[in-house]
Amino acid sequence: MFVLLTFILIIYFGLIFSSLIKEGLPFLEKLGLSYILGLGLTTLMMFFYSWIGVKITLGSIVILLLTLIVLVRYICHFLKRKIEIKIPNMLKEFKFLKRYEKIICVGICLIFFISLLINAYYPVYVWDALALYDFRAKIIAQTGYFVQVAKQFDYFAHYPLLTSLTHTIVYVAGGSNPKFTYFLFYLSFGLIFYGVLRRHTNISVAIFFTFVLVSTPTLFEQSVIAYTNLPYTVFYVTGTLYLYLAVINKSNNYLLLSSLLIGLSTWTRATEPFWLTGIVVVLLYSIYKKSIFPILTYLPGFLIIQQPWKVHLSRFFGDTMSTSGQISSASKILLSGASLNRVIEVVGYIYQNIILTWGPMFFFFLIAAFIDIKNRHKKGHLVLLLIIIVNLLLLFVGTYAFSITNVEWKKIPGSARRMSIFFLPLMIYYIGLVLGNTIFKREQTEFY
Amino acid sequence: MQNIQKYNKTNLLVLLKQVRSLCYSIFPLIWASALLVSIGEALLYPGVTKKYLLINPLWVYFILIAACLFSKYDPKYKKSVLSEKLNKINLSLAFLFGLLYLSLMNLEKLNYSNFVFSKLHVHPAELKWPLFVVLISYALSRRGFHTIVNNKNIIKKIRPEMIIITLALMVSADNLIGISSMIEKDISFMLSNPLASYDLKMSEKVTPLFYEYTSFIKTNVPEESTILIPPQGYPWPQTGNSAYLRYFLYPRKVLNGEEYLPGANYTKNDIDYVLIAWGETIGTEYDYTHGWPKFDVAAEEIIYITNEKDKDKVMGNYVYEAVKDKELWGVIKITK
Repeated sequence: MFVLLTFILIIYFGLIFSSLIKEGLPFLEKLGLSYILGLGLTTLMMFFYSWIGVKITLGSIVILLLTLIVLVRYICHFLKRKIEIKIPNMLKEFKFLKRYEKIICVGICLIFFISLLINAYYPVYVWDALALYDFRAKIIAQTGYFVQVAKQFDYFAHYPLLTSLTHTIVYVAGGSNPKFTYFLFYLSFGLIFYGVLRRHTNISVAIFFTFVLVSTPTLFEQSVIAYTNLPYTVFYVTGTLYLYLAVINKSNNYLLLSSLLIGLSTWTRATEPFWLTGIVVVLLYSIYKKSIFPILTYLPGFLIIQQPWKVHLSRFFGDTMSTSGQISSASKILLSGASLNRVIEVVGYIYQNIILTWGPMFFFFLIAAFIDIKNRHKKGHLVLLLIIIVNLLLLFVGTYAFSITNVEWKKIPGSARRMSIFFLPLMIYYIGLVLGNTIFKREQTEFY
Repeated sequence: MQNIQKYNKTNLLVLLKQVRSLCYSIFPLIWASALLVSIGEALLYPGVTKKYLLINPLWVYFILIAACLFSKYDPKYKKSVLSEKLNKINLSLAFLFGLLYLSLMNLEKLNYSNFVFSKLHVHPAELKWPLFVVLISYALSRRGFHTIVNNKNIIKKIRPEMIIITLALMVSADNLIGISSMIEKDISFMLSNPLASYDLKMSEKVTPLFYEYTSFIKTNVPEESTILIPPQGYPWPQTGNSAYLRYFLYPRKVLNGEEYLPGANYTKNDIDYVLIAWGETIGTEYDYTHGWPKFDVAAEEIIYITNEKDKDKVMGNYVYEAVKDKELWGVIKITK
């Protein structure tokens, strides 16, 4: 009961916060955003207040949420932002779909249902969750603190706390199985993906490619285990899609939303360097627009979320773990000159262990890119293509730098694969976007 | 100077015509060799061509492509009955290999890795090469080009949406099969044990051997104890992983030992117990062998798990030589 009430508060906080950032979002998309934003920001606040000595309990979490809700409502009122919760008649909308669209919707719902069923049945059991994420959650639930107790344990403080604190919320609220939260991430992802794709394509394309997304075995697998890869993928991909919308619509609201979501991806997993893509793209956009405003909009939101964990890491492990320390050591490696043999080895490793696992999707992505570049009138698509290419380059550079500092870099292909899961949703979105715009006409009727 | 250049150009053209003619003459042989190599790799094993013929199969396929490109320009090719028959064979084989490739790959996904090879002695993934050989031979042949290029009606009838929908349906089917194979075992267990307890579910996921062993440890080792555990590595991937094992035994503390030595001072580290762990896996690494500890331990008592999953208490020291090569599980309470 308390678990349900706490998560309702989290989602409500996320709902009004997303309304504060961007008004007029479609309902399903707003619902998806509510959960991920609400949970991400709540767990971040929990980290802050426990760091300064306030114990994490159900009471403190509820007080935090109520305070945030009141604060955000006040700000919305002050800025005259409307908080609309217009729940559409889903059954009525469903009736108006074509037969094959209905079948695909049923397929999507079935996949979500199976994910929920497996998560509700099985407890946390996967390796890293037992060794770290869930173990930390239980310790935090028991003691009420993280920073203050971290030194008592080995292999405890290296990774950010989003998933651990999510589990903690469930435990302090009296729950015993936090895995349903991964199903909620999966569901939110599907809702946001549909909403964003629907802006540029017709219902059939949006529904179909949402089906392709949720039925991707790699993503489905991550939705039924308590790893950080799915939450990271959800935050990073949604942040990237909003970044794309920000650039093509010249919208600062989307830019702010993007900065928060990509920031929250670093609050889920901090070792991946892909957050740099956002900064590079916004910098290029600022130069293109000859305005400093985009970068000034993006950076604060991102840094407020990313930096606290880096500060904690550098206090715990030394300056090499801070952002500047990591950029400095990476620069030294990259500027010391590339070894051609190692470059070829890394390319081969990435191809064998990452690209090949994407299956035919990478091949379709290349076809879509070819069609897109040929039809140069859709310049907006090329922004997304650029973002994907920058990420691919970062993947290569990051793997190369890792191979220099770690002798056993080739021994964890599974980890490399999981780290690169986010490429699949981006490619699926891009394919849907290009093919939907090139071949199918966008209809006026809506399905939200 | 111009005459020399003209002479050289003429000689080059003559040479190219001769190569073209040769390619046309031996094209069926090249095609058959490429097909045999690709089928051989699929039926025997990938790399068999390189091992026995010392030729990388990619070179064979490259020669096929070159031969296709050269021979199609030969004037004899257009009128050749053999080339028409070859194209019909290529089309039929394309259909056959395509069907085989898709169905065997999905059969593999529905079962387990190497399933198709174990039952039919075929490497399903390698079937893409015979498919490639017949498709490229058809596509690059004069007939293939004529069929596609001269029949513009065919191109108009093939709507892009149909291609996309076909590809999309293939991806969807592939995804659904992937998910099905992933959840089959879980759904089956859930249907057989709808009201399973937490212990039964965890036992199913982390292996019954390991889960029962940790339950045994929790029953026999007090919560305030420190336990010496095997070194991290196979055959002790779970019992030797301190971060993993602590999840099951907390608030007991765990500390890694070494294979032939404790690796820690019992008094300084306040160690109370030492695990007796044969090893959860058959495989090993770092030259480890089964059975731990491989050193003597001065013990107050030793508690073994017997075959009947009961416990057996023994007084006296743990002497490794006395229990060497015996598959034992238990815990030693050390003498303080």
